[in-house]
Amino acid sequence: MTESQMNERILIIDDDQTDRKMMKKFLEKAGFGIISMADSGEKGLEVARTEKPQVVIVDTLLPGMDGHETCRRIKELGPEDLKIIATTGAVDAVDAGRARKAGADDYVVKTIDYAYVVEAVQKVVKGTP
Amino acid sequence: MRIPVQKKNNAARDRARPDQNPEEEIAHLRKELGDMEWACRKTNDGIKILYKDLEWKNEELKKLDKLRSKFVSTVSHELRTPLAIIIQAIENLLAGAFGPVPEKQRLWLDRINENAEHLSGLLAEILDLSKLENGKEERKLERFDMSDLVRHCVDNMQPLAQKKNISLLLEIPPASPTVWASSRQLFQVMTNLMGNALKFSPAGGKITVAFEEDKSTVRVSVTDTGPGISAEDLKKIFDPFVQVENDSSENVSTKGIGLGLTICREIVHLHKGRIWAESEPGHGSRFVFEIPRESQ
Repeated sequence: MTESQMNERILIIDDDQTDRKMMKKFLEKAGFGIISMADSGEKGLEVARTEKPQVVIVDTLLPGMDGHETCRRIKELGPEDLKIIATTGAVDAVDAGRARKAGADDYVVKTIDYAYVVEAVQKVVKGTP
Repeated sequence: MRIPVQKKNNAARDRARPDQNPEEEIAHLRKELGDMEWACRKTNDGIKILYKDLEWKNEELKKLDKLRSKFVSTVSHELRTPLAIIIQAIENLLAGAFGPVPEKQRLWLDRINENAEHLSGLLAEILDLSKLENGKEERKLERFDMSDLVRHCVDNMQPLAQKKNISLLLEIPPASPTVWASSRQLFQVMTNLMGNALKFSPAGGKITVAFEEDKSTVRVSVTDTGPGISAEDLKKIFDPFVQVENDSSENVSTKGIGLGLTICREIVHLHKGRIWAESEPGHGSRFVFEIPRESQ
């Protein structure tokens, strides 16, 4: 893929520092330039309010306010076309179902290869879930 | 498949919407079903990704393991040549090839010799194992009498046992079966197991080598009256470089590198057999291996 600059604003909410950094790196490599990060649901909500991201990547398992609750509240903030991708360390159908109910547009497992997360972002941006 | 889904939907309906018109209810159930299908699909995708990841990691590990094996075998080979020269030189010195050796020098030369021999033994162990791991070792299969091999091994060990005042008993059934296997390799397994038993048995102890057979397998056990092995150590005793802490093997020259049992395991596995240890601290240990009579 060529390094074409994309101007979607992306917010990564994950309590794991490595995951945050790696997702940011992978996204930047894919051409996404405007990326903010938060290490908890509470902080993520704060950032979502001020920076109005178009895509939010949220870990389902967060300390404090969990990923599902964060997802629901961010979805409430809007706008209507805000896309949310739930990420997880371990796949679990119940967790996936909860993410869907909380308003997630996609649900991706995080592995060493963060390309799957990038793929999911590209999909929701294009509007083909 | 149908019944649980229905049950679940009914439960959801009873809980959330007791009085609802059927159309709305159907729409709601459709959405529920859609969500469930979505969750299943996403989970499925996730499993596929994890599986791919695992496969990739597995490949990487295999590559690493190969590299390690190769490294070990190269290094051992490189170390062996200079060591052989050192040993030869010491032997020449000790034999008086360069003039008489004063007593004090002889003491030190003996010490050097002992340690060089020890080192050479360790290298031989490492090389043996890496050959087995790389599948490079040529396996010559032949038909032979297993009880002969066991007896031969016991005879070999008898002088060492007598020196340590350990009685070495052999229990062999009258009928002697033949096996199709590598006699050289099985000889090594026997030697390693009996060597361990001798190493760890206190003076006055007893080692029993027993031999059993049935239609398709032969089984050899080596039982000692040594200090025994804790349950925790038993679990890992066949892993490479594992050495059980033991006071009775303080002497550096009797200590191996911890590959003897790993070599045994590799050989037995090559013969499609199995090997295990039974022990209780304070009550001796029993090492058993079992191989099919017709190995491939």
